[in-house]
Amino acid sequence: MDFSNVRVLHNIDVDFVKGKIYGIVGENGAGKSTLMKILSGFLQPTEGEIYFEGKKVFLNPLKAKALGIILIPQELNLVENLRVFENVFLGDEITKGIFLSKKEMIKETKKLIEHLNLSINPNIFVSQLSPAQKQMVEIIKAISKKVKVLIMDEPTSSLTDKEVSKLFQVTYEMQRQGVTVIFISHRLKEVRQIAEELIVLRDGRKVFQGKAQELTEKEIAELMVGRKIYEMFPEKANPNQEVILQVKNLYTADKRVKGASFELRKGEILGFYGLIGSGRTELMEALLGIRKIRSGEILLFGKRYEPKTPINAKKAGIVYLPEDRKAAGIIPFEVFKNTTLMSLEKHSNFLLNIKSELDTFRRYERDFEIKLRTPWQLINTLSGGNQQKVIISKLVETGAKIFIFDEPTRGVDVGAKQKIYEIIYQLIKKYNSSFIVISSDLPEIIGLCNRVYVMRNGEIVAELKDKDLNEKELIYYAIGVKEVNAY
Amino acid sequence: MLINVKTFISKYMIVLVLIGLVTLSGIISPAFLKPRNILNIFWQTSYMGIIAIGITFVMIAGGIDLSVGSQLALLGAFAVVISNKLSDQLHSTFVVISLTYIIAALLGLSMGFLITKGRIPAFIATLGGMAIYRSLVLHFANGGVYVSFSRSFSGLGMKFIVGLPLPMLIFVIYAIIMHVMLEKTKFGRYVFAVGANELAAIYSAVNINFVRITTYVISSISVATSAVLLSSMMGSVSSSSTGVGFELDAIAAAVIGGTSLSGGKGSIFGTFFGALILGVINNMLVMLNVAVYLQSLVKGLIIIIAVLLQNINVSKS
Repeated sequence: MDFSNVRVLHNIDVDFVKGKIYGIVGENGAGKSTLMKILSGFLQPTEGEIYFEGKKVFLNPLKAKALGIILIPQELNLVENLRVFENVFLGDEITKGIFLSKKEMIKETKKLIEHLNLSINPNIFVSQLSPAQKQMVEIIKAISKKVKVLIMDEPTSSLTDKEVSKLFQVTYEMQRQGVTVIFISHRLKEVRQIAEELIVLRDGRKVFQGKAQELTEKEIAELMVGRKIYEMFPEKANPNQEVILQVKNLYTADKRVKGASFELRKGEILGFYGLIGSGRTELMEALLGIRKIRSGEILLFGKRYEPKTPINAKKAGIVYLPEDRKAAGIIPFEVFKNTTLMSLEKHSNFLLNIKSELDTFRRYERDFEIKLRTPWQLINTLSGGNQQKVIISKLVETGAKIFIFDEPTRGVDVGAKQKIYEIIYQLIKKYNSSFIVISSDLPEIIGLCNRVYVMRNGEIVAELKDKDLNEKELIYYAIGVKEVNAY
Repeated sequence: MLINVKTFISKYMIVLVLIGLVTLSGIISPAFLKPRNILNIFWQTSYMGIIAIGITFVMIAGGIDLSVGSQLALLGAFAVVISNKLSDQLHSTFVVISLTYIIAALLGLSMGFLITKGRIPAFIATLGGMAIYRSLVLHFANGGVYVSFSRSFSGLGMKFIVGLPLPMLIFVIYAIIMHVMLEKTKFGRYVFAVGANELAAIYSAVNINFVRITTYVISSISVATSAVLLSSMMGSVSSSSTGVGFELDAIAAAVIGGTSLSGGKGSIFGTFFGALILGVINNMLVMLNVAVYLQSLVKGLIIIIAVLLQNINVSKS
């Protein structure tokens, strides 16, 4: 499977047997989601074949659905403003003539609910259900369509323990009825518990398939980790010892961050690692004044810092490169206007001096090797890497002292990636700037950062550096095989 | 070279369209090209055009202002009533104008606060404003007309400077000032940024609430300018008909001029010529004796075709 010129999956051979429960594990980007999208027809493989019930098939989403292969994505696909039964029969409504037969649909939904030994009112709005109940509605929706293979992507990530065991009961019930269940999860404990057979993916390859009970959680985690290439990074410099940012026991109002404490030194590249939803981005948003802080203290250059908006953060010398470039990074107008947007006062003396703006942009165009036809081009017409360089130029132009980069090289080609690292090193050398880098890219975070904090469920669970800063440790703490270290 | 010609044409397309329309009108009805008629079109367009300039700011920042028509009547009525209460002297007129601007700024400010801090969609908030303002105007005149008894006030709207009507001059000068404000100031740049990608603007430390509120203040100030000029020229404000449909004409002028309803795109240059195009079409329809009830149909078609042409241009590039 090729994915924007990067091979995501390599030669995977898997047999799924009827009525068996499978668990698939792997770190972020190991290829789990890609594999599942292929099986449910949302992506087409560049090589290889899929056989279903002995026959070779070419899948698209509709075909897969017709065959009974159903994917329940991590972000559930329910319409919140519709009732349970309406969701179950969405797109497949039972009709009488030209009218919907509400009665019939409610009756059928009730039957399915009883069939799974659940108690959900089919007439209630989905928005009123708990996350677990919503998960159940997805399953009911699946079995209303004669499911043969049910794929669940991270079904337990928003469930409580009690809700998880309910989900497991339903899963066993489905198995009894001959459904093959594929269960994708980061939570090794749960996977071991529910799955009979375990598949471990690493870098798009299948590295293990066998009885789940045969392995301990630790052994599974070890399988998920592998050696990778690190040639892009030079020797790490020793940062200054001066602490410039100190966060003490920080809680956000929405509790996505719970009691985070850390410090950042001058000239340091500090990493934050964690699984999706671990609270890394949320912690940074709190530092930026976008997410409400409930308690805790932040000291910036020894002084109390209480950000209310990104305007405060910018004034204090903290700027942020967002994770989602298209939604939160680029402003779809002329390229050079992006570069100067955060420092217009330099070019404005009541009226803007466009020429001086263009001069500033040209400097970055040369230094950052931004490739374009003209500065008047719209930024959305540039490649991902060049867009990222422009956004970075906007941040650098503010003269900030602390740069927070959230997944700075995601969706960026290798050349631009190298250039972005170079920019970081240059800024440290020239201005002694400090960097906080959030990254899910293990080689990147290990190769780039002086120290790395690992987050899990909103808490910082470990601080890793020197020889402890390796893939094994990062993943162990991120998925919870290793508990809190006393950092 | 070819690219330059292309960008030149797409930039000044709207001027070419206007010239084409004027030529066409001249061929169909030679009376159209009489200087007197051209001046009249310009003059009559000024009232709506000034409002369209304000609404362009609102729309580029991603909002909409449906209240401008009713607001025109309200502010006009306010100006007439105040001028009647004061002595009939020139300095009273200055007081009237200042008070009208203050009220307008307050209206724009409160609308802006409702939309940003109150999180009411702009469409709904200004729709409410449209109903409220009209209702107030109707109520205090009991459905009738506000008549000005002040000569110094009503003299204002009929003033000519170097042979040109004052409203037209103000329309042109206002357009130039607002063009500079939009294209050459920090604030103008922020207006584009907020409309083009609000989230990115927030992360870039742009004070988006300030920017959006200010655009509504600008819209109301523009309406006040138009209200003073219109009510003094007419010497009266009709509570039931003054300003009716202005919001649609103003939005149409902006849209014809290339302003995007979803924000982030537009220019005062475009709106200025968009307004003139609407004015020429209106005049043409009258001169050609098109049935009164069919005139809106033609206007509607022009607007739809204008946007269609822009979409075709976009998908090509």
